[in-house]
Amino acid sequence: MRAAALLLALLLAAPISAAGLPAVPTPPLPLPLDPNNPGGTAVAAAELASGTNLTREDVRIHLDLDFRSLDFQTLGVLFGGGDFRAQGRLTAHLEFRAINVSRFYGLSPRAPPNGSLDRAGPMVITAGEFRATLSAAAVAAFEAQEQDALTTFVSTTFPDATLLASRFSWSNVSPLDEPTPSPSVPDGPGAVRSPLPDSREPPVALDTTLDVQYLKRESLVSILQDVLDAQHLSPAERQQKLDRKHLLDEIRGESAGALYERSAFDLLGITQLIVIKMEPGWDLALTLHLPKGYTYEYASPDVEVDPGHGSASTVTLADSSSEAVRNPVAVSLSNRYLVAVALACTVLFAGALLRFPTMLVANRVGRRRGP
Amino acid sequence: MRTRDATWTGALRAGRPAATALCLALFVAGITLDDLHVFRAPMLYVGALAAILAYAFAPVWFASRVAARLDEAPEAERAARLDAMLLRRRAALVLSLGAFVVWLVLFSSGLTPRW
Repeated sequence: MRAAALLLALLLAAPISAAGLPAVPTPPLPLPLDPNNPGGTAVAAAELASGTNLTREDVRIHLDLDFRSLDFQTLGVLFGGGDFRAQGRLTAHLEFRAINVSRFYGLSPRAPPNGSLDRAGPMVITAGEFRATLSAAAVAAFEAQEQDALTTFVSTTFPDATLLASRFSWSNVSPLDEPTPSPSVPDGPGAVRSPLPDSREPPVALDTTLDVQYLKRESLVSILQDVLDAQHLSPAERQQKLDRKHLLDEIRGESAGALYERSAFDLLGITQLIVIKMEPGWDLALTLHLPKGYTYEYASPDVEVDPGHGSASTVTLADSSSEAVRNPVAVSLSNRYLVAVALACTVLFAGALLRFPTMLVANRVGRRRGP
Repeated sequence: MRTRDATWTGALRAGRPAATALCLALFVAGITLDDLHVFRAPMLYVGALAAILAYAFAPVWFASRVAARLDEAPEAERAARLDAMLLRRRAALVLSLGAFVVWLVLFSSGLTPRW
């Protein structure tokens, strides 16, 4: 139903937008008309006039994942069953300045080949058009349904996760009284401000806050079972594991194999590989916060870790790229306290295994030979 | 003969807490040096291996040294000196355990520089 409403709105978009524009003199086209691609030339001329890119999406996402707690009942796991509990808050700020229409219908967007203006796929809809058609207001009006859909998605995708609370807040969804002036052409001696209003500003924004809890009961038997199951991988899974390893080695570079290049906690930490893929025009700023006691022990060059080593952030920019940007990053997490205690216990246990026979022999031999 | 046996047994007993303290010290040194990247070597493994060997074999080494030293002492003093040594070494072990806990707390809170 929403899709149909949006389609109707899009059909109405062009006349409404055109009617809302002030009458301005049309600048002469400085581009030669390409007879093979008249549409591309027209789009290029329109972009030049408006000072904005009419074919590329412009979506900026700020994700902030704050792990509030990570608890693991070690003794419980050893003697029966223990809980692994994780609680976190995901805060997202999404800004849509221009978005491909097909995304609303679940179709794969067709990116312009080589970033050229020869675009045969569906065009982008700007924030201003989204507002003018009242589609943004309609989407914002369905917040409750969106929350329900998200709750269902989380519960079906991650059966052990619970969505404790969610909050949606749309902004800049109503048509504006005064259009935003067009941005001036950056740099260049002929920098001029386009007479047309900038339909991308202000962006339609969505602020979301999700509180998620993950709770899973683990036992030594189930962990061992998982480990045994991991030995019997299908060829596809094995290949996937190999690809992951190769990617990690590639990210780490020369330090991948050298033990002395990596700290003890990096070696013993949990290495997490995050592969971020951004479509042309999409930007993502991702920040991950760890709970108290956990630290980042390693981060790939694209990741910036704060001095306290409790949070790390990475930015993937595909705004000016003509192709999708793939930015794999790797981080290694550790809980120094737990790792050091576990290591100390292991060392003492191994030492005790050796000490017992040594003391037996020493007692016998020492007594026989005397001091 | 029985006195010699008792001396050796006492020396071994006194060597255990000292070996445990040495084991902890080696373990802490290994991890700290590894974390500070002082040497181009995996100091975690070096420290852990040294700690295991110290825990297992150092009591015998300490005991042989103590027994050799006490061999020259009068027989009447040996038991008293061994008792005093055992007490001192147990106290040292308690202190080193306390130091280990302090190191653990400071180290895990990020006192030492990383990378």
